[in-house]
Amino acid sequence: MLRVQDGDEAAFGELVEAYRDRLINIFSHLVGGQDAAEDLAQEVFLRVYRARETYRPTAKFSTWMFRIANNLAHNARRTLSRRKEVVITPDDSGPLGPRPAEQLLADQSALLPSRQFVTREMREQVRDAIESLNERQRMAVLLHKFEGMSYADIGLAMDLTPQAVKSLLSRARERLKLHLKKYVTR
Amino acid sequence: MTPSPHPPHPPGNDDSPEKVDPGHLGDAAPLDDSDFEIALPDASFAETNSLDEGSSGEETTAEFGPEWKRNMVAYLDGELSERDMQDLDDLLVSDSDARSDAEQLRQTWDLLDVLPRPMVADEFSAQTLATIQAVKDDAPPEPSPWRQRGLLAIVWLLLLSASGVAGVWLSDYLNPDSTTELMANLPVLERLDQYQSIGDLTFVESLAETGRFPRSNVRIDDQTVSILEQDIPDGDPLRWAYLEDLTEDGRNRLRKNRSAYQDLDPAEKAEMKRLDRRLSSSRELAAVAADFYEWLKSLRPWQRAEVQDLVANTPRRIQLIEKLLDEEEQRLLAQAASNRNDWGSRLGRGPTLSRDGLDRVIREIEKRLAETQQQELAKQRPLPRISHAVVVLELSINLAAMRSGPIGRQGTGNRPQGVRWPGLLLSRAIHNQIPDQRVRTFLESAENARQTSEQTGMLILRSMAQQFLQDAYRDQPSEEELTKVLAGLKGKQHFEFIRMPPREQSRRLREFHYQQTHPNALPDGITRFNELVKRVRL
Repeated sequence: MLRVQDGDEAAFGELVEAYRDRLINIFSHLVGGQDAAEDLAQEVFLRVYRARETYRPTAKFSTWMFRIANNLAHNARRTLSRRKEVVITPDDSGPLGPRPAEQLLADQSALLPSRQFVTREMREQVRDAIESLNERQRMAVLLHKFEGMSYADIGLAMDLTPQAVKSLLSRARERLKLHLKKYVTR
Repeated sequence: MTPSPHPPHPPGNDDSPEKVDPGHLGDAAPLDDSDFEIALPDASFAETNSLDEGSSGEETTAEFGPEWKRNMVAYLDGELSERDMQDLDDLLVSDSDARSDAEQLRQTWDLLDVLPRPMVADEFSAQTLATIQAVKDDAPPEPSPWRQRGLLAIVWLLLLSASGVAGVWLSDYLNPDSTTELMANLPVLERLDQYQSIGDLTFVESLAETGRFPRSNVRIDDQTVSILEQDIPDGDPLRWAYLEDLTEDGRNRLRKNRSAYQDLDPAEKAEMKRLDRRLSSSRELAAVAADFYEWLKSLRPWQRAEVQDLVANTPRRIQLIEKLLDEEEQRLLAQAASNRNDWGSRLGRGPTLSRDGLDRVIREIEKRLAETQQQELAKQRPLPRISHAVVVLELSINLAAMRSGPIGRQGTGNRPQGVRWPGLLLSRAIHNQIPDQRVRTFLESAENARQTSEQTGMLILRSMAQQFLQDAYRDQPSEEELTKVLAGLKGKQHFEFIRMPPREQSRRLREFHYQQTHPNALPDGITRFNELVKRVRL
């Protein structure tokens, strides 16, 4: 990022390459749908670029970037809920979006080997469980799980104290445990 | 745990592109009770409803009371103080219920690994950088201080919201000539960005002659129809209605274009009108131009600049575009190849032959087969083009193996993996059939006979693979046909498919469709082609 501040254009390209998958992954679970996730990720990069002069290396770049992402995701979800748009998640739709064909696919899944069926069903259950979390819990879980961020860094990205993050993650994981108890051995 | 200093506040929670978060939560979600709404299964672990409870920084689990659950999760995350870790360790050793609970939390966390990770299209980075480039291009040359910019933004917003449609066109009413020009030139003004990027009619016609655009006429991505392919109504009343329906962005764009158009010299204006008349009367040319414009946007900024620098030199510009398209296809090919475990990425990098070039090379190799082999080949006719090439290469390699005798180094018996193919003479003959100087130069760069042989062989195989994929991608199935393919995906194919980005999904569906409708396009699927790659690559 410091190179970007110095006007190194190639360095910004490297930043995009390095963080795009991570951002899109987080966004896809936050807002549902890869297209929306890509749009948001692009917006994050745009804002990072625009704010490059104001960046100060007092914290990790990733923490700063995920802070932008957190705020953008919140705005996006608020807009979506206002518009009452139906968000189609990648697993729900192909490029054609034909419901009958997908129904057929779902029917066919019963014919697949049981292990694959369980994986598919499990994946859907896990996704449902993630979606059952509120926005803040979900963000904290995603940053911790996929980004491996510490409570302190999550706190910086979400403007919370580490204690609040601890509480947030604790409740999130209890909720996940309840949702996914059928897959968890006692 | 000592909280770290907060990072500089990023601008993400404000829709204003210029404004930087002043340092508070802003639009971020306020704390709400929903973080506390889980009824814990064990009433003895009832908690208070405060996020900041215990936020003094000291964590204690001495009594394993209200903090117990939180500490358990923090314990699993390695976020507890050493003392609390030790306390929980002791508890877990002595209490089987606590152990079970911890294990369930851990397993639940591990389950999140099954969540799909989206695949990001390669175009994403290029598009993002292009967007940023566009923002830079639009930015004023010398940024004003933030206060001034903030004021300007506010004034701008006020002006926009206050003026609306009437404000935008008021000046036109006061200036009838301007209005007349606007109405008369509406199609050109609406498409000015596209026309300026495209250049002139000669270029579009030359581009159409290459057959490379449009790249696909199946719109299964959520693409919108280009302004070049939309009808702009004729006649003042309809055009007024059209203007009234424009969005605010649309009006802004039109206003900007009108200003840019006025700065053009008469010859440029005349060329724009000529281009517009021709494209409006030809759907085919409009599709070529529209797709070229979309493609141009997808290029990296420096590539786009290179293409645009040649706007006055159509032949060189076309040459460059074809080169970039070839590179794109190579990348696509490598991507497609790397998605197939059995293809791997062993086809290597380098140029490829044109269709005509490949046909000439295959004919030359076929001519040099033994008579019995030619008879064998004749029995198998007619074969699809690439299948035919596979069989010719197999026979030619077998012939080389027979002539060189048993190979002890890599194979056993007559297994011909160790045969150098094509040999020196055949390489020269192939070389003479290649019409493209660029490809010949590439082959001439080989340092020795062995490298010449391998480069020639791989060139042919790479060209075959590329043309097979080209055929698949240029196949134009209907949406109904693609729907059937989608419904037919199962098992691993379906599993991989649903993880692909939409653009890749559309390509892959067309490829599946092509394989289904052209089962013999490659003999025995991909197996024999793979075998050829192994045999040619020494």
